[in-house]
Amino acid sequence: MSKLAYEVAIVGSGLAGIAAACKLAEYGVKVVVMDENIHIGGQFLRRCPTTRKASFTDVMDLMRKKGFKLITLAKEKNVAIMNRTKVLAISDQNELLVEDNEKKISTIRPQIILLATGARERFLPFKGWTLPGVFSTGAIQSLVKSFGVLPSREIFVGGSGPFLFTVAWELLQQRGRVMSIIEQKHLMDSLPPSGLLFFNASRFLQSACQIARIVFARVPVRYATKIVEARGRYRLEQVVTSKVDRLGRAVPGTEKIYSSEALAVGHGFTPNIELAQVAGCEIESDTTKGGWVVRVDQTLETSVENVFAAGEITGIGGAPKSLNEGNIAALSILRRLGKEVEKSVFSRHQKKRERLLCFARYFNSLHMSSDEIIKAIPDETLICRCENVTIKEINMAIQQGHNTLGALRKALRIGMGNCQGRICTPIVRDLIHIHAKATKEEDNEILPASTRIPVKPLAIKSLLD
Amino acid sequence: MLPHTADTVIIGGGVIGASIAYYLSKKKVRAVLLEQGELVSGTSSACGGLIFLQSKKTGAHLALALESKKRFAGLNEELGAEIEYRNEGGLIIVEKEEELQSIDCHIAREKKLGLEVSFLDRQEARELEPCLSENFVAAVHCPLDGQVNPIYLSLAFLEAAKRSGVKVFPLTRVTDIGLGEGRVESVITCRGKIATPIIINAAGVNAPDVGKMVKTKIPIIPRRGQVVVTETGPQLLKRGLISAKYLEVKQAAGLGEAQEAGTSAEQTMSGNFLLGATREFVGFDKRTTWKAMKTIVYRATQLIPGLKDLHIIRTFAGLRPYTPDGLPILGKVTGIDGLIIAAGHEGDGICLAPITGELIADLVTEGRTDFELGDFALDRFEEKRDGRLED
Repeated sequence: MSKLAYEVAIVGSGLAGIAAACKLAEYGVKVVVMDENIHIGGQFLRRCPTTRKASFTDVMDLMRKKGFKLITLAKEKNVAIMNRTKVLAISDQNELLVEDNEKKISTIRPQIILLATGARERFLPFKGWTLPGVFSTGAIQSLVKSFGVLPSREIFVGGSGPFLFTVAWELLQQRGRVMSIIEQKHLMDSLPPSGLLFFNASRFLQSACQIARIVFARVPVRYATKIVEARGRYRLEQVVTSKVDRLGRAVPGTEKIYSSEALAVGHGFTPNIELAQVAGCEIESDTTKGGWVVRVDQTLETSVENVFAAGEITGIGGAPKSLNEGNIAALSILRRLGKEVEKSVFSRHQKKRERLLCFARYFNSLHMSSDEIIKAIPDETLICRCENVTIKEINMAIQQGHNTLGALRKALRIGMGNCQGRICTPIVRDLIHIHAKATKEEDNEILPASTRIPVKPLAIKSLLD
Repeated sequence: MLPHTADTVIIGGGVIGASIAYYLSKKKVRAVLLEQGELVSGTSSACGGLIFLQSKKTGAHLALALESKKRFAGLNEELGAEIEYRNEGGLIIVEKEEELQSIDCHIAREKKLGLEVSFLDRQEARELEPCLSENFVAAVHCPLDGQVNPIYLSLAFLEAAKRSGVKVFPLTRVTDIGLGEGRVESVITCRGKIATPIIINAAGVNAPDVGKMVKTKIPIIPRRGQVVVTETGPQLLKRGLISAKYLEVKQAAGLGEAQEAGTSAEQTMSGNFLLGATREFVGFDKRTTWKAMKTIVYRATQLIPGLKDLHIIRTFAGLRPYTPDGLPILGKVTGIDGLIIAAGHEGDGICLAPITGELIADLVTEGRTDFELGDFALDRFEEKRDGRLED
């Protein structure tokens, strides 16, 4: 067990983590960045191994460029980088338990920890969503961006939010054929308030470029349409869709059946709060931030002293917010370490953050599923894939009074499987919320179930070595 | 809405309170159960499911466990819910030569009380459980030992009780107990007051807080037990097992620091392994530590090498209600009419739940029990039978 003398340990090497690392290294702070993936950069900065030509949209992608620049900078500034490294636990003395790329377990005891663990996708289950051939949009993106692999020549993309368009665009860039984009929201509900357009012009311009490419490729985009069912004997063969009204209710008689071998689905994102929970950080529940998020103050410090959080885990907001918060967290940490930081720099970033948070609220609203859509999920649909629990069983248990995540876990084993509730809990939270509204119970904050070490499954073999 | 009156109020929504509620409901008592948090959210949701007779102290403790065990067989059907009860037997694994002597004495005492136990050499034990390694000396087998899902058991008791008219209120904290002329009159909660002639303190590790409300000292201390959960694996282990060391630490009942609390292992119906154990006095801290995780896993793999192919998916810790002599506190509280206590089972709560519920229900309705509860009385801890705290 080695104890290396790092002043700051950063968990997660996405934009927030890497931006903070660079800023800290500039001031001569000894910093280590840990990430469980093979390549650093997180979800946003995946490198494409193929040498496809840069398109006009790529040129527009300033944020990605900035990100790759930061990665190069971090290496130049001698930031210690540990890839394929899992942080399994954080003790009450802020000591990290780490499994490195050789599966060796060790501890790191920095003065300050920055959590930048990012987000994962949210799913809205439908009949047949567990069939082989149904992918998450994130998984498709990872296949395409990191490995240059297409799951199938022809792909359906469905769900809600602008990420669908990004994934469709990436598929097209890789010469995939996007059969259709199925967007649950009505077009009118997806348009941004004009106030946002001004401050986020480059972002909207980039989206516009992606949409232009999609239109150019003659990909049909169907708004106000949801995926009803994925059909197939052993794997996906057909996708069934239906129109929905403004409340999200299916319009009878509008069902359509398409043949397809691959379907990419996504319904937005939810923060990876598990490590923060284990560290003892307070969690708050806020739908406009993407669900459960880590509570932070103005300086991005969590409720635990010397543990900071930045990026998606404080609220889903996309790349610019992560970059901005990475910088703010770094400045706050520098202050904590007693370094001189110009006040004006700090407040400039703070102002920018406020604007980005406004955008984030709009961004998250694009992913929200209405109660009606959730209520329309058929009884036999699996919600907890690890323990085979259906939505009917969950709704019945909630009605019987098991109306918290902890109680449902006990009654139905939801979240007791290998994923420890990562996939199912966001939707279970929605079900509890809908029930509370229907019964007009006092609307208590719905808290996540407790998380315990190890935060990620740990091979007993590597623990014993 | 809380009722204004009740025949009996049970404080505590763990397995003990739930069992008492169930047995009271069978006797048509209009009982109310109050739980400060969520139902089954304390010790009963953070423990293993071993029903071990071999691990009980020889004497009244074992006699109580034997009675309890008899009730388990019919519970699945009686409660109308799956509690995952199995009666596959259990093993005590003797890891060191020097432990043999005390184990021999233990067996002799158990046999005297009529418990069916047999001494197995390593080979015989490995024939019973082929997953065992060579790293032990001998084993003791008891065919009466079994396993249950503790959470399902507690929930099934509560559901059955509710069906028979017991009112159950989670998130209802008891703030005070109203006394009049040496007897209980009411329970005051954060959601209102209930007038009642009988109060049962089944609050487990929180029983001392309830005791304070009537100036009675209850010597229960929380003792943390950590458990490691693996992913579901192939069926390797049929029986529950504990090491001789585990038994020794359990029965020593001293206040010593016991990081080394021996090994316990069981495989649940779902296929996950639950591995233990620690016995630590750290107040009400329910966090788990990776140091304990490592120790537990190291010791368990010494006995069951097949575990090495699995992943740990979770750990949890429960606060066991420890008493100085390792026995639960059961019965009427001297000096306060209508006050009954059923708490302090430490690691035996699951095993002793059915008999505890039945005896306490008898105490409520008949005022007496067929089973002699003298050894479990609260005043065994008092030198001069003066249970009152000086304020």
